[in-house]
Amino acid sequence: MTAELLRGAEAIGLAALMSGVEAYLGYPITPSSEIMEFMASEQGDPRFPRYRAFLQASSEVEAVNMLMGAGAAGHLAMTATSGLGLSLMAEGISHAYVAEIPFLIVDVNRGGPGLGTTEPEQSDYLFVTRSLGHGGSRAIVLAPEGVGEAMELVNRGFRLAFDYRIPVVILTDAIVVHMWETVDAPELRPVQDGVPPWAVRGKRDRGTRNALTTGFLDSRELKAFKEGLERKWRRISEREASYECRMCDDAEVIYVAFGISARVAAEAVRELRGRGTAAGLFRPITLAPFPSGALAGLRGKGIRFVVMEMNEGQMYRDVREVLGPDEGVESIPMMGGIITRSEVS
Amino acid sequence: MAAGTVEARTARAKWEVIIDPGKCKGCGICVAACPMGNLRLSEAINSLGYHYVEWKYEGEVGPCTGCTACYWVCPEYSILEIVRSGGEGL
Amino acid sequence: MGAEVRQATRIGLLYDGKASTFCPGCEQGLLLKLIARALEELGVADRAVTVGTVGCSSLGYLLFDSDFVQAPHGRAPAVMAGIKLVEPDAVVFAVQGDGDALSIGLQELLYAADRGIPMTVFMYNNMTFGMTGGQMAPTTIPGMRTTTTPRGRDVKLSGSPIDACRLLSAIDGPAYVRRAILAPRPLRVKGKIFYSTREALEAYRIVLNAFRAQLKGGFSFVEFVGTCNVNWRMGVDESKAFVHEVGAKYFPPGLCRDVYGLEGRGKV
Repeated sequence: MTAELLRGAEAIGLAALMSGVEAYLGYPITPSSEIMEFMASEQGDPRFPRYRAFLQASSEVEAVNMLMGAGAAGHLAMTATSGLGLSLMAEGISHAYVAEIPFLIVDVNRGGPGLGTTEPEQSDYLFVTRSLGHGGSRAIVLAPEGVGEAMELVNRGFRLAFDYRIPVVILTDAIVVHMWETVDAPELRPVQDGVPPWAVRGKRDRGTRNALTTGFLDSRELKAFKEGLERKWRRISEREASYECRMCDDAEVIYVAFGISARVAAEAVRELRGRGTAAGLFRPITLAPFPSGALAGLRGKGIRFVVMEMNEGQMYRDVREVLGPDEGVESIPMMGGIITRSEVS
Repeated sequence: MAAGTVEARTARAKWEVIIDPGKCKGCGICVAACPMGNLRLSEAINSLGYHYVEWKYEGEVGPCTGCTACYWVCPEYSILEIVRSGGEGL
Repeated sequence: MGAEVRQATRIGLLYDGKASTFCPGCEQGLLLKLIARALEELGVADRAVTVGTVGCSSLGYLLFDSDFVQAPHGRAPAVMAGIKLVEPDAVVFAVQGDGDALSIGLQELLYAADRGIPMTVFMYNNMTFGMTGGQMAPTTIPGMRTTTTPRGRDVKLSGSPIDACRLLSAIDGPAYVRRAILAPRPLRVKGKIFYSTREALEAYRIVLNAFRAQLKGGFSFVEFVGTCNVNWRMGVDESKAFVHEVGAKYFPPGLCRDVYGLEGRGKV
């Protein structure tokens, strides 16, 4: 594949297919439905023989539990949803986190809370990064800024999900999913061949059984188990946190933004540089684990940090926590709308 | 082979129930299910705290026909084993 | 000596030497035994996947030596669907309580049944939420006292018990829908209580049929009406009598759907 004009929804689907996705199990919700519709139309595509199952579930609750079944059986499964649906999936994600079951969820962030709007927002940040489900459950969260990166992050997301046996969320929004961009289609390889040894699919010739539980009869067992999960998360944080820092070396003001907001911030940076201000952009690519180490490395240089996001200031809290009380950190929140360059620079 | 099978089906072949009392919860269903009345709940208690089932006939061959009714109604698994009198397990 | 075998009692799929996790007198242990035997008899033990539910049935995995994955409360049919879509020759089953299947999980159960993706659901109906201490369940009968209906279930407030078999036979998807009483009926013989193996053996045949339906590509659902003598505050014999005399009036045994004619009555 060479350069192609692709819309976000189809690109995400294509990336999943190239990564070897086997099942799409979901429930329609604006603004994510185009992803589902694309995957529905892709059934039987001879280019992707691994893709064998598409099912529209009766609710997001049913969908996430189907993802759990497919993931528990060691197969690549995904869905796309928006905030409301993700709220319903929280129970399932919490179970998957403990049972160490991998699957991929694309959250196409819309206005919220409640029904909100069907227009883009970044207000699910807190939900997906801090506590995606009760009891301290988590997921790895990746945030693409455009169509091309969305494709790479879908592939990377599946890889991370299966390497670490953990649910992965791609946090995107209604803009990225609906926009068209010319993309140098990335080389994406299927994430696995065959099923992993821990898969629950019948003992077959394995001899011993695989049991994925989420309940424990005794808090000592739970404690030991959770300590293992914490160690796993630390490994993930050490190895997988990723970010991009453009023109940060000499910057006096650094915008901190993720996803589509980073594109707007980049425009602002360009404009400021044009006017002679040394501006830069720090763009977290993994929102969880948050690239705190890299961000902390920018402390003590008198840089003015401006966190811009399409919510009331959710990532701002994380940035403030990492940089500490003495750094200059401002928040540009935008609730219920899109940040435009004029509001930013 | 055929002669042996016939032998197993005559009343002359005696059977008995080998019991592992440690897992029994004393529900008593097997006692009530045995058509020959071969079982009873013990006066003693096992480590789970229940009056466990025991074979009524100590050291003698009882009227067990090997019907396995006790085995079928029992909600546990590791308690009852139906064996030929003096023989090994099945 | 040991050559003549009347009836094999060893069941490979059950861990030997473990007491079950169920109360004395509960039939769930029996159900698990029947399931294990049936899977072995059908030669599919190595392809079996147990999906865990929430309730007393959830502890079954401690006794049952098959691949296992825990589902959240009520969601087992959805988890089973996910497994079957990617591993079609796995033989999946779940034992749901009446709460798991008909309260929180009703939607998942209905859609799984409606789609007809091959899987087997056993519902142990003991008219209560057993594990959590005896609260009202969707199948609690009118007037029955539970911890959340201390004055008896009030139909005006809480509705009537749900008839799972009738509900599931109203849709086209399922291949085998059956209800049976799993509790043995107490019979009085010369003033003493006697139990026959009739219910257990009939249940075994039904369990075999349920798995046969799945192997033929259908969705099977079996409701077994059983006791919860502890939460009903009854003795073992009294609770068996209650099921047969009272419970069976609301949940009469019967064959509600049999697309493959597994019970020999032709297509039902």
